Amino acid sequence: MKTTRLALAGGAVPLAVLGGTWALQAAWADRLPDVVAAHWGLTGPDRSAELSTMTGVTLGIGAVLTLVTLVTVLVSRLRGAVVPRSAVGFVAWLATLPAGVLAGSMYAALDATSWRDAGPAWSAVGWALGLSVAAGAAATLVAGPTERPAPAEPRDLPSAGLQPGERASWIGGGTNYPMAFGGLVAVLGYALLHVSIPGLGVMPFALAVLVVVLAMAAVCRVRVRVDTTGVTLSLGLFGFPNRTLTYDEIASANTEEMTMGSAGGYGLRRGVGYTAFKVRAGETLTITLNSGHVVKATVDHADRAAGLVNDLTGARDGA
Amino acid sequence: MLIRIDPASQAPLFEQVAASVRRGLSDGELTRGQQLPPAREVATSLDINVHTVLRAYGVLRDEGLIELRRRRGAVVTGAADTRARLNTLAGELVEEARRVGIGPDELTEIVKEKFA
Repeated sequence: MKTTRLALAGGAVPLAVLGGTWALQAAWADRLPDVVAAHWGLTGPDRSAELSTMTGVTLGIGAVLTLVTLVTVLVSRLRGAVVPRSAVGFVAWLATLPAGVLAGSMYAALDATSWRDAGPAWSAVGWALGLSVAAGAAATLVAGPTERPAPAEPRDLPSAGLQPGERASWIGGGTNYPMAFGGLVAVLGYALLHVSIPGLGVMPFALAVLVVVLAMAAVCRVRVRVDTTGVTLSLGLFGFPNRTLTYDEIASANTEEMTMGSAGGYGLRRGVGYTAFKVRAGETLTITLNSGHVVKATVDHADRAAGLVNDLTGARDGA
Repeated sequence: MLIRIDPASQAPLFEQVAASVRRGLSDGELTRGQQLPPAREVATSLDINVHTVLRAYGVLRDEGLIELRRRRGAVVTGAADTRARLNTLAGELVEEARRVGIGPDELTEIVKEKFA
């Protein structure tokens, strides 16, 4: 049932908007010039396009985006991934935006003898945004509430086997080595550029290298400490941003495998129901809070960290 | 790296910390070239004295499992895998000998016979 709703939201809704825009053009055919305004400057329309070409390009882009969206949503669903309704709404908005632009240009050109006589920009922009936002909202509604994965049974949760009276701490992390050495490669590339091209200015290359080095250093490593005070997570060589979770707010901990595309990239990622400290793909510590929010960190030997968190939280008491 | 201590145990705290590191080495959690957490951070997280952790690191250095470097701190050596496994097995052997009532001399004789 959920798959059908996602298919309708990701495929049927954008296709209906594309079809509706095409039908609108057919209905307005007698009132539209062959060439319509495609861009507005401060003084009015300043660029134009053949209506037939613009229709083909915008609806073609929309169709391709819809197809990509539909395949991505269905494959993610079949592979068991959680597909947030907000993500479906966003891609539906994106897929229908070109059709919205076409509808806006057509509306502005209604009953005009030349594209230069087209109506104001705000009406075209209003149509473009209104149509696509409405499509995104409709897709969000059709997709229905985001399904959350069922929480693990207490007996399934990992444990470090901590005995009463024992004290323990787990200190570990995960490193993205290509990223860690990426900054060094950027510096070497910059040095090579200077040697090979005499008279090359320092700026803006030095600034670009500095930005690359800082960016790599900021997200190449994640570090986690689990002890009796709580769980502390920090990102990068600077240890910022960081977050400390106390056991009052932790429900349980577990592990999962993140892919390169999970959470939409590397670094500190926020999404529906989760915050991820991600520096690589692979094994990941997942800490579920009492609020249902999940905090993730891509650390090595995540099962041991999760086990200690569960032992210190008492999450396995129900086992 | 998971470090666990039992303050009620008769084993000294520094030995318990060192045993945790040995276990991490034999389990593959710690590998060659890897840095151990700073002694101060371990001490804070376990609520023990930093000198206790430094003493544990000193024992591990004497066993050839780690190197103590000025800037990089405690780093696992290349020979650590083999030595840590031997240390763990020896610990289990001693435990078993105690359980069945065999003393150090008799156990040493058994080991020597095996070598012969």
